[in-house]
Amino acid sequence: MDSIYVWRQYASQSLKSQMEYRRSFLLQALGQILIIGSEFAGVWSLFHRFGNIKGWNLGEASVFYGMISIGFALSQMITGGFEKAGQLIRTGELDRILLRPRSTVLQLLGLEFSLRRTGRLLVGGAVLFYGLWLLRWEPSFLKITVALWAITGSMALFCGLMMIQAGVSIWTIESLELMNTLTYGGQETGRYPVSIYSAPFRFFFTYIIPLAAVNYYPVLLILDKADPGGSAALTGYVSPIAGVLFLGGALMFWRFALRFYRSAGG
Amino acid sequence: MSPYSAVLKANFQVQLQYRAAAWAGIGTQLFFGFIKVMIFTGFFQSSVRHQPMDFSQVIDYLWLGQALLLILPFRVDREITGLIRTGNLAYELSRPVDLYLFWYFRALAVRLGSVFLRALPMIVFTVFLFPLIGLENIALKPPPSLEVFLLFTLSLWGAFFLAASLSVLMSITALWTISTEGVDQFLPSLIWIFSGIIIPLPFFPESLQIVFRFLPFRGLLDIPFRIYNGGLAGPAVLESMAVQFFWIVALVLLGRIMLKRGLQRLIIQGG
Repeated sequence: MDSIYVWRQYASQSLKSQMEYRRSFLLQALGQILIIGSEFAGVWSLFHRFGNIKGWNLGEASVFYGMISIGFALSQMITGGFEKAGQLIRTGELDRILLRPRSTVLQLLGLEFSLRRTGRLLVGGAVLFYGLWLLRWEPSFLKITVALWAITGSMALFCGLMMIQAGVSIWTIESLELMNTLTYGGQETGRYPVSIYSAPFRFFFTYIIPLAAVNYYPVLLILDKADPGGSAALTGYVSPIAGVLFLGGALMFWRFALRFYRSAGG
Repeated sequence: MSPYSAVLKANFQVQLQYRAAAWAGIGTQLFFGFIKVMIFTGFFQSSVRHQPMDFSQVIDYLWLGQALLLILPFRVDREITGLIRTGNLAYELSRPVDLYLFWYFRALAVRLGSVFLRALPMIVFTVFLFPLIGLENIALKPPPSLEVFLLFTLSLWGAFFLAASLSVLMSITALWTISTEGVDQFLPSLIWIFSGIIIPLPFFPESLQIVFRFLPFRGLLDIPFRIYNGGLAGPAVLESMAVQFFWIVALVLLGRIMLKRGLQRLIIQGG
């Protein structure tokens, strides 16, 4: 429980320092809303032009879009410290973090509670509700539980990816952009039902990076849709656990990577 | 060698040093390209409605976007805004050069260098390799004629000049805001929306097309790409390139005026 107290101290300090530059924060959040909102406008326009994508309509696609954006945004809000790992290594700041008598994970999670990511969260939420509204969705306790469980899973998955990215940056910083295919690319992929992609991509985002498990399968349950790919109807109740397991693996990888850390500071 | 060609050459060469980063970038761009191509493939397979571009034109547009992505000025040049924040701008001002041009050529070289490094392998992959590995229907096609290629090249240069003027403009705003963090997000988001990188601009609703037509951002990607894929032909090519040219001139003038004003009210701290 003590670590939760420490994390809250960290996070509240981070919030205070961001609020010192209030105008800059507002502009950043607004910029985010514009970018992510316009990306959805792109999806909307394509549905407007084409009508459907392999049998999926705009309402359904919006639910996929909203759900993955919310999970990604929540993970980005707390993993700012991991995202900055490359910088912490280059400046030697990671030495100081290692010296403190708390786990690196706790400290990095608290390092930057990134408020400007609320832009993505807001847009994601709005798109989700827009989709549900288009579909005249009937809420039920079970479906809402599945939705929250799916968001937990996708948040865990993206946190895990950020930690792997941070771990990799102990070896290389320059090639790190490739990891964007998994974080931002994962988000981009998850905006559409995974069934529209070609087989190798589907395999990759189901079994290697369990994106389908935290987004596609549970959303099928929320929408009362059968899987055109023919998976068992109950898959979505269980599958978000894959995100949590992925996070567990990523934590182990981060600890492992830290053993190879050689300070660059002087 | 004039100081401007020197700054151009030096910054171009600096960009060429980031080879590992470029390979990672190429991998990333190929990945995003595939995702986008699959999404459009799915849409085209699901509908017979008439579209503003046909499938093969969309493919060209998408791959060109991935290959030339770094034309877009995504962020403020930290080196220049750093000069302004630390006061080292004083040294910059003491050089016997036209500061605007000096920064302009720097911005131009950064764009040219980073694009050059990534675009060449991307084009080799998407034009030559894809047909060899059975991906001919999603490969980037060579330009249909020499004339189209020349017009495309010309408007691509326009895109670089336009990007450099936008980039310098962003740096200059640091004279007012110091932190630039807001501008850093705001202008790039407009560029992201209106350049054509999210989806090819003609797919947005008809009512928006008139807005896109007169904004500067279309000149960054959409105009050269549509000249390449045949979406713009005849008088439309000339009109588009005239709009591109107009914005380059307008933004350079605006940048010069803002720089002059900014320097007049500049206070350099420290000593």
